[in-house]
Amino acid sequence: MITLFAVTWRTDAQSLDRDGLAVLADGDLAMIVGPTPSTTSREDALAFGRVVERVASAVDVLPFRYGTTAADTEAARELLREHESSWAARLLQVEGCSELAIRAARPESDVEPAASGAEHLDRLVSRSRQLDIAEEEIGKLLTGRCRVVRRLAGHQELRLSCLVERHQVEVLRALVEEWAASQTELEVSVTGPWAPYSFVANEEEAG
Amino acid sequence: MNADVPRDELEPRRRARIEADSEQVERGLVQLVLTLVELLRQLMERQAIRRVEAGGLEDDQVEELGRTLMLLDEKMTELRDHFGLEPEDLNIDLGPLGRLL
Repeated sequence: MITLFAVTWRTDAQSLDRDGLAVLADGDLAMIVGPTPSTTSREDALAFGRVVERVASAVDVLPFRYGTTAADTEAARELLREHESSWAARLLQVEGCSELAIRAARPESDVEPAASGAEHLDRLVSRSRQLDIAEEEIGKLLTGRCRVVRRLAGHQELRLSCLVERHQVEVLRALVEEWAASQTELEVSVTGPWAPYSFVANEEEAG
Repeated sequence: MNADVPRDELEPRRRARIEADSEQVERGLVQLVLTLVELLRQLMERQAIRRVEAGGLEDDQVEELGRTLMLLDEKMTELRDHFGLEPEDLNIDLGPLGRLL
């Protein structure tokens, strides 16, 4: 059993510091793989993430999710052959980009229970509107600065994943953080740059 | 599929599969059931928000709807506390489809 970390261009893979990883090349693509640990712990998941981020900081990648494995190297190569055209197209889409994640939500801790059903519902509606406004305002900041923006599933929170060219990452972070500083009722966080996990699948596939 | 594998080599694997930690299995099952209940609760909340935004509800209907959602919210918190689960535990990673909630 081998763990699949990421797919990259065959030419880029040649320059990677392998450090315990193996590179399986087929056609124009290469897959970064490594041994599968015998356990599944939080530490294993973090170690997986560190490997992906290390590779992504050097070359363009399509990262796999933690826990993606193949029976052996031949099965992994078969995957590479099977998905070559779609993965190559996706790699072109994320070329030169990282992912920034933006989250906005109202803090829950200091909210007193509602005194009535109507008040509870009123709070839900108000929070929903507040997040819609936040999405619109953040959207204006992102326009022209992101290659793709996706709103991810989230309950009573706004979660945006932005595919950003690497030279724009800090510019965008500063803009969103400046906007966040003006928000009195929302907690906003901007994390990244990450490997483009949210942009591996088509939006239709991602739901 | 395992026709070529000697029986001696199969036995340890079978044992490993059935020696599951029963507490972990129970917790996993509770987590799965509560995740589905939470999904339904959230869908009800969204539907309620849409109904309020669309207008046309009488005050007593708004009160009834809000109270139902409030009680559901409280019950879910109680159940989570009872089983030692955090809100973020009630989610399922659907791989390329993203997270359920």
